[in-house]
Amino acid sequence: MAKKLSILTLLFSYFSCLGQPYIEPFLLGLRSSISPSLNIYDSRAFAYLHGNMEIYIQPTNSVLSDIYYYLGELNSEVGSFAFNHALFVGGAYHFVLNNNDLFLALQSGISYTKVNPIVFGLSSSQSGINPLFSTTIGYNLYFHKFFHFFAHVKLIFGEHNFNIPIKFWDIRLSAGLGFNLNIKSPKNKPDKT
Amino acid sequence: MKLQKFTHIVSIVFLTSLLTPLNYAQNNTSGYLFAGIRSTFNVFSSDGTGLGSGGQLRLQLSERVNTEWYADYISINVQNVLRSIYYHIGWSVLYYYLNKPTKLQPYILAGHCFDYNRKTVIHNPEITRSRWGSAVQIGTGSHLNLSQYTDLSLTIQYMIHLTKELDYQRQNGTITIIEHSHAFLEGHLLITLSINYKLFRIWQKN
Repeated sequence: MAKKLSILTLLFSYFSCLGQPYIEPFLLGLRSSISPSLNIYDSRAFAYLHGNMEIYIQPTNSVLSDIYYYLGELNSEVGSFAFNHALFVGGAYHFVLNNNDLFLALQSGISYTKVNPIVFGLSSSQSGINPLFSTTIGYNLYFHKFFHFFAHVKLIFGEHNFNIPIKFWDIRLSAGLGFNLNIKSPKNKPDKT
Repeated sequence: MKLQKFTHIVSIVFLTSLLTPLNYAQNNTSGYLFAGIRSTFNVFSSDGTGLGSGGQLRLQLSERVNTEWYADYISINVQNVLRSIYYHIGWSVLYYYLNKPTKLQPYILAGHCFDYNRKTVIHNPEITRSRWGSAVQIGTGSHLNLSQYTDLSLTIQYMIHLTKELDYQRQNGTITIIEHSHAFLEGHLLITLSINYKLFRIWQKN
């Protein structure tokens, strides 16, 4: 176990020291993954298709947005929701070391939800918009001009109040390979030579 | 004992750093437009606790005076009986009482907003009622200037509704939504956390 950890640490250090620093103002990060989630209030587990977009204003600050498309419930054959999509926008503060990027983000959001009427014994159900608040802790490792690894953990607070009240105290996980691109025109960049 | 002393020193250094004038502080800061995203926590109201999402624009008029133009959508679960939705569209004037901008930039604020409230019985959405109203708010808060372009702001304000409130009544198992016969000086305490980004300068003082 210790050996595996040391190899991983060495690999991370190797990747993070490779080449030029990639985290610069106007760096655009695009990420997508299948995101499992757990509602810590009632132990319901869900899956989402997750998209994330981030623009760095400075290496330490960025604007961060997330979109979640509801795929279904994991621990039940008939899901409690007909749909439960969500959108978040907010900011992140980054602790950057070489190309290692640990960040904390705060986001405001909304979810568009509708409960499954069959599960709750209703003849029909209403759809509606619910406000959400989220905090995210994440790590990005930029190892290439166009690619990086990411692992994000998001904690979400909110409540569905249409037909049946359901609290959202969700932990959502996302990880994978992300795409990055510096959208600032090269001619505007300071000449490093 | 040593740990306590160390904690005190760290706290003093931290607070001093927060209140040290910013090295990127502009000589005149008027004319800047900021855009932000905000989350509002509704507490100590007759409806109960709730959560809101919204956005804001901030236009700085002078070094000491800023204005905030906001819109919020707040949802409150009233004792698992009603869904109370508030839409707020309003403005506040912020006054910075410290001489120079620091990393922590406290302010007091006051303002006005138009609000729309719709109350709906959660289990029977056909029973619903709404009202339009007006409100005033007063509070305090602080920006935490994360950089020249970004700040995180925490505001605590009390909003007084200048209108007749909606409430519910349960009679023989039937729920009805009623309007009070007169307005109260009652409202809600709103705790708002926002992240703001400097967009551009609309005017420049010569």
